[in-house]
Amino acid sequence: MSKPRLATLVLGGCTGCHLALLDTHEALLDILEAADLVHSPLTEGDEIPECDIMLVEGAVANEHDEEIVKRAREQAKVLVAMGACATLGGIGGLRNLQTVGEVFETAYGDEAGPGDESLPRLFRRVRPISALVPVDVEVPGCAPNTETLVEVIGAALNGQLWKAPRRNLCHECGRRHETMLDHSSAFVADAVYSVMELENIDPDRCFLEQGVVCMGPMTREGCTARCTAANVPCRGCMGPSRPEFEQGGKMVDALAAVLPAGAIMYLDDLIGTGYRFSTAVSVLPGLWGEGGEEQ
Amino acid sequence: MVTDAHFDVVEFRGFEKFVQGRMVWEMPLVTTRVCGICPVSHHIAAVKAADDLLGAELPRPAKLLRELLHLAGFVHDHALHFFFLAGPDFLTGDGQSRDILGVIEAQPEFALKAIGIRKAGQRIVDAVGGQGHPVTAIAGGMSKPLDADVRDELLAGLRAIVPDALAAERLARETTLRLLAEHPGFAVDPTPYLAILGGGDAFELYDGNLAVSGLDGAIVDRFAPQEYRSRISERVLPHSYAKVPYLTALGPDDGTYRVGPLARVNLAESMPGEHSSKALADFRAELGRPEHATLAYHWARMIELVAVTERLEQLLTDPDITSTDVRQRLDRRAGVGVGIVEAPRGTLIHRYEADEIGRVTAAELIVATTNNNAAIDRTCAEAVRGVDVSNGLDEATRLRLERGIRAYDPCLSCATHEVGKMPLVIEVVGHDGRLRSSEGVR
Repeated sequence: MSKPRLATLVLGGCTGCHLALLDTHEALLDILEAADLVHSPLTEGDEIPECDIMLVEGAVANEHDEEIVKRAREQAKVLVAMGACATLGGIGGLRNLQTVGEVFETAYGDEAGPGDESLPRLFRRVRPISALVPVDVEVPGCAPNTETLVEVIGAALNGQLWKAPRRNLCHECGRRHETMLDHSSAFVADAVYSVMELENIDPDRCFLEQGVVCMGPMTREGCTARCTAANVPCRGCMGPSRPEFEQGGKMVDALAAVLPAGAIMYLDDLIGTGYRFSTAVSVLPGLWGEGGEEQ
Repeated sequence: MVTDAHFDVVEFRGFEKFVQGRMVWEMPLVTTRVCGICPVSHHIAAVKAADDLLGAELPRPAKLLRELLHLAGFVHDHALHFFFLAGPDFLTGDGQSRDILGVIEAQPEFALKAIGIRKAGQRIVDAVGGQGHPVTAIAGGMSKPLDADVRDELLAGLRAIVPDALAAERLARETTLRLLAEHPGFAVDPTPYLAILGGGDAFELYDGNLAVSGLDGAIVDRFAPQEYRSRISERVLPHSYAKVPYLTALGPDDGTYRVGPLARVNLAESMPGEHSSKALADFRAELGRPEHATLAYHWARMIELVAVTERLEQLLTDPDITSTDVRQRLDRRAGVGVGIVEAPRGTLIHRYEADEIGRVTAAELIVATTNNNAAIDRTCAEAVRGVDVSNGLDEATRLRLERGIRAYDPCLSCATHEVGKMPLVIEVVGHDGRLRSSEGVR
């Protein structure tokens, strides 16, 4: 019996998810024993062949991405959206708050951009791949942990569809709470601070109690809380802990009981902290949009 | 018959616009997403720019940790390129696929060495940086110190792969000399070179002033990072999302230059350790100084790998590397900041303006590969000029084209603040100047 056929693809992404896969190191050789890698950015061959498992990294940002992702869906039995860009639009979704013309103006000094028709047309909005095709498995993270990707591939090779964990990051974080859970009318800090403004960054205490906005309460667990372990606050790259949540809206809603809400919004950045990876799936582009054409 | 060809980059994301309104101290976290292969370089360039803007003065241990993290990013990246990205062109034989799978099949020993080298580098990045898209370089220093036990592990891991790094350099030497003999005169492009240099014009990747060499290799200009805008301008191309930087003084046609391993090896007066010093001397004995053949990038890249392992050993054995004095507290304020580092593919420039709350009001990123844009364009044109493409691109021509481009290790994600595989369009232009056909090559 022939081996299962594995394929991977990059759309509008940074290839960080592919590097996370490559960082399986020697274990990659085992994966390549268990499956035939029939298409990837690192292997020969341009056409997307029929395959059993297709991992797609990157968001749909231009017409070319749309063509490719639709072809991938046709050819793959199991389609896996890998990483924040593929599942949520990712950091590139921040451009959804501007028009393409405004973005081109900044980069090229001209709203028309480089101008030539041979360049693939940018969509007005960056989108996750689920906006265009049905997706079988969603793997959050920017980038997903290497171990998670191995689990996902292993499950798919066994005919199972991996599911992301359901709770928020606080469950994995392990920092201690001293004041936050007390019923009190006082905020735990008088203002909001970036870590560079702290005298001392306490490695064991909850960031919120240090006055630092941390996206943990609004963010899905599963990354092993590597940022808070590295002594910086979570920035939400795993996406909202519930897909229904507006990650940034929840940030203000949840944290306003703990930190001064005005300070959260004024001294930090609702969009850049609250919606860094999930702007594309939030209400914001609709609020900012010029109306009319979606794409 | 092809009369001209251009290297057009077809993907674009818009970082310079969408970081406006973001907090400047978050730039080291946001800009890592410009590229998943060299996020470390962006992390470091961004934090240096934030430090510059906010007036930071780092304690020595913080600088050492930053350099440790920065150099560790080179280890995985250079090994990745030589063995798995360009390597397939010269490490595989007939009957093997010209890709990573072919390398694993044709050279299993080297494939394992490459994996081992990558792993040792990534272990340092994870331990010192927090994760693959690193997070620990914060404005004012580092978010956490390096534990002595962890340091011991990383040092052992590094020492274990040094023999393989040396073997990679020997292989790169042999391969480069063979390629130069097989393709004499191919993509020999006399250009100025740009790179950071350290004290005494030593090889330097983390911090220092910039130097520019003229066509004969002598240094013709030096400038501090904050002065880069008086030296470098960018030209927009109609058919590409990537722009072309050039030395303002020489103008857009004569002012294009090259960066990256070949530039650094040409410019440096000395290397950090015994093995890299010997390798540099060997390079200069076998080739020229300056060496202009594009294929020499491969050897220069592996000389850099050796140099980096030697410098990493020095950093990991420095007593200050485990110090807990790793940051300075900073207040937010308005200003302008520039951070420049040498990234694996070349000089990387981040510049930010921020308001008094700390929000970015303007950003400019000139990313590594972009600096080589004009040179890559010329190499493409040379590779296909005179070829009959009425039946599409033949295999030999495609190989020649890819061989030329791959020597640069181009990261097109970065070059347009976007990422892709190798989005490349070949346009066939007739004698009348009209576009005849457009063929994508991936």
